[in-house]
Amino acid sequence: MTPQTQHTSQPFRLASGGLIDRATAMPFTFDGREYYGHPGDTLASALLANGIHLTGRSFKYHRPRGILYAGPEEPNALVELRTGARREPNTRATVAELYPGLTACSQNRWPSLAFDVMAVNGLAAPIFPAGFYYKTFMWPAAFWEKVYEPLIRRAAGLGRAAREPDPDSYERSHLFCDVLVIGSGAAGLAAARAAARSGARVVLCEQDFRLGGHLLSSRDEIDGKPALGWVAEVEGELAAQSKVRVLRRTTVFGLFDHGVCGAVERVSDHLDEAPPFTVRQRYWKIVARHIVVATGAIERPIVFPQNDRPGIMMASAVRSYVERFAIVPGRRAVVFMVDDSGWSTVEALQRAGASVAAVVDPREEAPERARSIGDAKVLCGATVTGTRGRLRLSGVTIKDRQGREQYIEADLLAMAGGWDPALHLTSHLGSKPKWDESIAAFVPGSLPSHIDVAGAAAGRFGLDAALKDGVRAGSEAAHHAGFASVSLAPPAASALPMHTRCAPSWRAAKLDAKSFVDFQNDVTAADIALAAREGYRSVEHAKRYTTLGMATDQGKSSGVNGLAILADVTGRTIAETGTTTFRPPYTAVAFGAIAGRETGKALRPTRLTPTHQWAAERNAVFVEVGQWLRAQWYPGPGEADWRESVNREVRAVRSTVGVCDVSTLGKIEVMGPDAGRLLDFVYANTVSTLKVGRMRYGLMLREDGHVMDDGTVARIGEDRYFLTTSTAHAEQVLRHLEFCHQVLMPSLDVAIVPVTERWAQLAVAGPRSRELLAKVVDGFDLSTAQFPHLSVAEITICNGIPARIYRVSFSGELGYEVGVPADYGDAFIRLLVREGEPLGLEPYGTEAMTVLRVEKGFPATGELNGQTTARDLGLERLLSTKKDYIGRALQRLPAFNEPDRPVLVSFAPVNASDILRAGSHILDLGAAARIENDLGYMTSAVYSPTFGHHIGLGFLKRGRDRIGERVRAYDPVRNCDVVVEVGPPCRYDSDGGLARA
Amino acid sequence: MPEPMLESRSALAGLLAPGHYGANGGTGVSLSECRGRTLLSIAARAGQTAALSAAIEGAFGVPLPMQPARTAAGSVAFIWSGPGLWLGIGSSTDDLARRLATCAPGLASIADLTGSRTTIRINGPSAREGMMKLVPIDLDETVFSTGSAALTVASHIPVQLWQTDDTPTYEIACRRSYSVSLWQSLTEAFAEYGYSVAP
Repeated sequence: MTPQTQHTSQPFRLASGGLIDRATAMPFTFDGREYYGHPGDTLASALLANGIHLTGRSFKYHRPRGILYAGPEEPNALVELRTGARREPNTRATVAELYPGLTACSQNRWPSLAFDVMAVNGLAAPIFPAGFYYKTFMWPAAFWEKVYEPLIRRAAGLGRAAREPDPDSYERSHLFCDVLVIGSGAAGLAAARAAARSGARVVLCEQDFRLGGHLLSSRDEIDGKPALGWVAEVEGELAAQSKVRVLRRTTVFGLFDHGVCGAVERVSDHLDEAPPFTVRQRYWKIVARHIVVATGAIERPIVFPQNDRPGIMMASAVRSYVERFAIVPGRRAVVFMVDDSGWSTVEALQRAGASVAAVVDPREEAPERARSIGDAKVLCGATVTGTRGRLRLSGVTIKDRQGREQYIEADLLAMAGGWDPALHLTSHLGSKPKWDESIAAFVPGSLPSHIDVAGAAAGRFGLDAALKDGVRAGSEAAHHAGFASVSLAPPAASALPMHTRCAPSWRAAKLDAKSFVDFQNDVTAADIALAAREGYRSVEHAKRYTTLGMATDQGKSSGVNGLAILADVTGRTIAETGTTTFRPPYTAVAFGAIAGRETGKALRPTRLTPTHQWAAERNAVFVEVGQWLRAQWYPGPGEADWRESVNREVRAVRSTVGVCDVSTLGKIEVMGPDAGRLLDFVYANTVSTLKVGRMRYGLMLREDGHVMDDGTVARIGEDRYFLTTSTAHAEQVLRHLEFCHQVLMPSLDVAIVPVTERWAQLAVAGPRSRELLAKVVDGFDLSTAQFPHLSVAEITICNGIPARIYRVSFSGELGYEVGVPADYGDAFIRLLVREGEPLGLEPYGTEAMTVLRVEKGFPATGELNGQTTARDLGLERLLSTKKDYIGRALQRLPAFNEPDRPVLVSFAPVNASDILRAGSHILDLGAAARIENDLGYMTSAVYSPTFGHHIGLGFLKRGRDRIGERVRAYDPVRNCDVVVEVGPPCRYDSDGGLARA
Repeated sequence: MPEPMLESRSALAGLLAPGHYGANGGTGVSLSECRGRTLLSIAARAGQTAALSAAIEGAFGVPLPMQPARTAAGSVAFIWSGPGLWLGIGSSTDDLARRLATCAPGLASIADLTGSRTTIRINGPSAREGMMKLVPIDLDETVFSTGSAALTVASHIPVQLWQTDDTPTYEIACRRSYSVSLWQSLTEAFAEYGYSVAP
């Protein structure tokens, strides 16, 4: 196609005017057909330029619907934009910026938009009244899940989401400012300029791709110049200031506490694909000291029978399409107005060459303006009572003052029903809008002092008012933020005052079943009347019963009409009826924008150990432990499954030597003259009696007496202790220590410093561990005589590298832990493996570590589950009787000392080949599997290569008295029922001689 | 004394290949890792904050900052890390631990944190805008300038952040285990400006 024919292929495009670039023609497709538009178009304006009004089918009755608005409040023209993985349903054609190659499809129709099978719903409308689902699908109850719900689900829904993962990227960012101005119409621009001139940091957000708001669609003059010139001037001034940030294509969707606002910038939505390294959308968290809401107003439709045909548009939208997009949306128009702004539409249509067949106004008198509109028939005291046309409006029935009906052929009906301030954001913080009878609209209620509303959003209509109010609000906001006010004369507007005589006539609705109130959810005046008759008189109840205002447009166009009708049929005023609550988001926000880059594994950060790279090279299998990745086991050549690997690792520790990275354990240094006193208070056992160079097991309780965590405490110096915690509780224990110091014992001279990441900590365990470590320490005597079990020393290794060595065993074997500065961890484990392999060394992971500690009966996460006490764990000997400590008072709780309370024991299957599973419940042999027979549960279960069968740890009522008895380990979830023998918690080297050797 | 047998390895080893990345054209942000630093946790003993600051000023020429800020003299810097708590930074030749122990005996509890954190230096014309994607604090020059410091989060990672010059140059420190995640967040945020990695 040549450019010339592209141009002429837009039969409804005017030859001149508008904010479009006629020099460039952009192809796009709608429902598979190719059309052309221009830069500056939205999808809606480009469709109208091609004569297309019909864009979709309604939600419930599948009625043909057309473009109603020219902005984000659009309820009808929702399309699927793009294809494949980028397919995006429910995109408003009125805000979708046209780009070359744009592909859009209509929704909610089959097989085609013009012929939709589901439109039979419309014929059956009498049987789909408000509350239809509640009334119909009640019986039989069993049908709900299997029959009704799937049927309803198939019929419901608008559009189809993409099934593939989103190929685009999104991100979040933050902005701080003194003054945030939301909206860039006359009021917003005036406010932003006033605030900026005072020197404040200003952010101006505009949801459109152009600044100007309604000024883009008007012929008004400001300071004697066309309004667009003024817009350009202000835009230039703002752009030149480094402290001003203007965000176009950015919708502020919510106001939250403390001046926090949520906004989404559609960075690349106007492009076919986001350019490389550019996001599709950016989610802004804007923190503003003062906020000026200058969001303008939304024109209200008029409720009359068959008010929903394609070709029926808002009068303000008609002006937009004529003035901004240079389109004539119809050849022969009727304008139905209850508000004087409709006259501007009459003038705009005439300028665009359309014939205005009639002006219908229920008010008795026409203003002065009506005399200069040429041959249009002005019918005062008249109303529209119906329309005709199937896929497009063909004519309008009008009833005049005398009650006579006449039919006028028309392909366009413009409705001017008055204006509702776009006050949604002002109620996000809980402020209730209040009804202002003088303008027949809701206006913002009382607001927090840091929020102001300017212009039409405050119900102060008209260009002159908007400019004045904008300057006022901008100056005041800057002043409140601490900037000197700059005296600024408001610009003078030439526009005719708007909205002088608005007289909405909700009675015109006649409660007809085809008088649509909520276009998107197909809620009619009759539905609202029915809801009221059935007792849903509260506006909140009526909303939910009829679904009024509950569609994706959240009732921007329908809310006030709906509750005005409700007020009317319930005999109350609108003020008495009240309004529903507006909540964020103002317009739909994509989950992708909220998630930003935090998708998949990036949902949370990952913590890597100092030996991670080495373990990865060794093909370790990693397990997530909180944010950490830890080596779970190291698969060896020829091993069929993980069990074989773990068995090999366990055997190495039991027979030669193993090495395991335990850097993830929490490590805390507690320093200062009162360190011992704090630790005596925090641990149930006494810590301050430790000698320097020694360490002991420490048990920490919660205030409620249950065990919080366990670990080791080493005394490094007179005033310096080194604590370890479990990996899972590292942060919790640190917080707990800080709380105890700062809140409970603030007078103590103590410093608590987390040092987890300072050390690469390697456990070296097994009979040959001493032999291995002797090769790396710098002349340190590791003999038991010099360095017995539970000792600590600061040493150097490998020719001068500082290290700490701890003689401690979590495996039951002779064992050490060595801490080296984290950056040396990688080289250190490589050295240990190299030196250790001739001795039979195997690195071992968390799985082998678990087997080793279960064989020893050492409690870990499964046993320290927040519900167990020191006595349950067999650790009551650690509870000091000589001092106070956190959790002490509760040790006398009768329930803690109940003899029947389950206590820690071990289990082994009587048949050695049986498998044990953690989570099994314990029952007496022959006892029925009922809760009253429950004796306890298994918390850990492993296969022990040392014993050649499974073993488990768990809690059993009167367990210490039942050692050697047989019970059932019953697991109905996984169909296991195994006879087990009860044993003491520690099954391996019960006197601990190996660790002390 | 013979050379140590172990080699030190950065948590970012393998990710720091010098070069230009991200969008073509200019370099909006330059990144490098600050290696070879001594890090110390310095906690004032009860009631000794003023004495400690005076002792440090006598020895190093700068006092301790008493608010979220950084003071520096040469390669030695002190960064506020909480009430009565500072992060001391020195080069490996500054002998910071010994000098502190000498100048402030009994005034502070000191713990060596060397290697526990990864510090990344960030500068360039887009550094400020890029950092705003990561941290939820106001980095505008009127609020956060050379000498400012903060404890905050970047992509859910606890970080300490300070500004060292008006370029602006930031240094951001995270616990060592988070290094790779933080690096990924930084480089994703800076890709749109084009960024360079220096050794």
